Amino acid sequence: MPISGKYFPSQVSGERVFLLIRRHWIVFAAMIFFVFVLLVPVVILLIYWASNPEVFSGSIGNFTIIFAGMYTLTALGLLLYGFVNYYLDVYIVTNKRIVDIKQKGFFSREIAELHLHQVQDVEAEVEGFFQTLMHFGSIHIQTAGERENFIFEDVPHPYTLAKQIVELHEASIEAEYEPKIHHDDKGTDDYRPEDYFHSEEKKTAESDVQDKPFKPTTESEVAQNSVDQEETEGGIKYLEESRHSDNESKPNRSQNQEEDDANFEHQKPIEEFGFGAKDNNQEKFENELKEMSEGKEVSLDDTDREV
Amino acid sequence: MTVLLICYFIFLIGFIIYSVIGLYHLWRFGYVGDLTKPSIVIYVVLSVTTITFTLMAISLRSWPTAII
Repeated sequence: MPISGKYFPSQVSGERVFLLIRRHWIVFAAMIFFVFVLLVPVVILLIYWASNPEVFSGSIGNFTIIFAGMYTLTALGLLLYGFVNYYLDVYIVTNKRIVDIKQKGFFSREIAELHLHQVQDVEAEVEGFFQTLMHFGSIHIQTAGERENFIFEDVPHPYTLAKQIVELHEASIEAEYEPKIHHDDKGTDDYRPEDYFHSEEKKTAESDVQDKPFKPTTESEVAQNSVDQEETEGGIKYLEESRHSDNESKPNRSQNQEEDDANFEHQKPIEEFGFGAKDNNQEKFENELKEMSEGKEVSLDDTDREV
Repeated sequence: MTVLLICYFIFLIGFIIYSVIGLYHLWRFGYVGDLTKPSIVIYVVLSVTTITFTLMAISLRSWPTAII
């Protein structure tokens, strides 16, 4: 389920967060355990003090109080440091990019971004007994070009996450498509990566180019246009003459034409078979649109789709 | 012993500055609806409790007036 609204500082408008990944909780649990072990002597000291107060009556007691106070606060400070390092280390996968935020201490913060288009390979790795037992591991994202590979370390369920990243990458491959956002009754936006529609602007621009007749404006264009018209008229005459002769010599041409048309159906560009295609996929498109308006989920691995 | 007390208060000032920086990071770079706010509250409560108990214990005891 995508997260609506602005979720991380550099999020741009229209960008939807699909995955927000932190390292496995066991990493922070190890930190908590370390601090707990640090605090054990203090607890033992307090218990001993309660049972033998006379031992700490003099300056030893004063020293113990101050030392115990400083020691406890230092342990708490370590816990804060560990929590900041753990919790602010985030891997974010949106519908546009992968963001790797690394917090190193309080004063060092690295943010690396990778466009989903640049993802070449995603590899999940679970290594060792402990990682296998606790279901966590690393994800290696191989990038295009000379960029450094992205490595998500100690993330939970690496196989599932790698699959989801690949699916989002495949969805983003359709760069000429734009997302359709569903508004449900609760007022939250429901966005699915596979719900891409043809850009209305692009369609309008394409139809303008196809439908708009050429009108010469300059003198050179007028001259060239007249020449073109003569050639065209001559060509049409020639074609008409040859067609008459072809019809006489090739009586089964219509059959060949049908075969050509059938072949052409398989050679249409990919975008014609996309989700928003309205020609021979019109019925399928309308059915899917109806299903989506009824709130039905469209699975990511929709193998029926002809893309 | 007084030196020890002075060291403790200097440490306390350092700890407060350190904590403010850490909590600022959590508040500044945290995300909507996550655990940053509860963790800030827990940390503040634990720290204030520890400091209060220590200060109470210090105030209840007798300290020599000599500097060393």
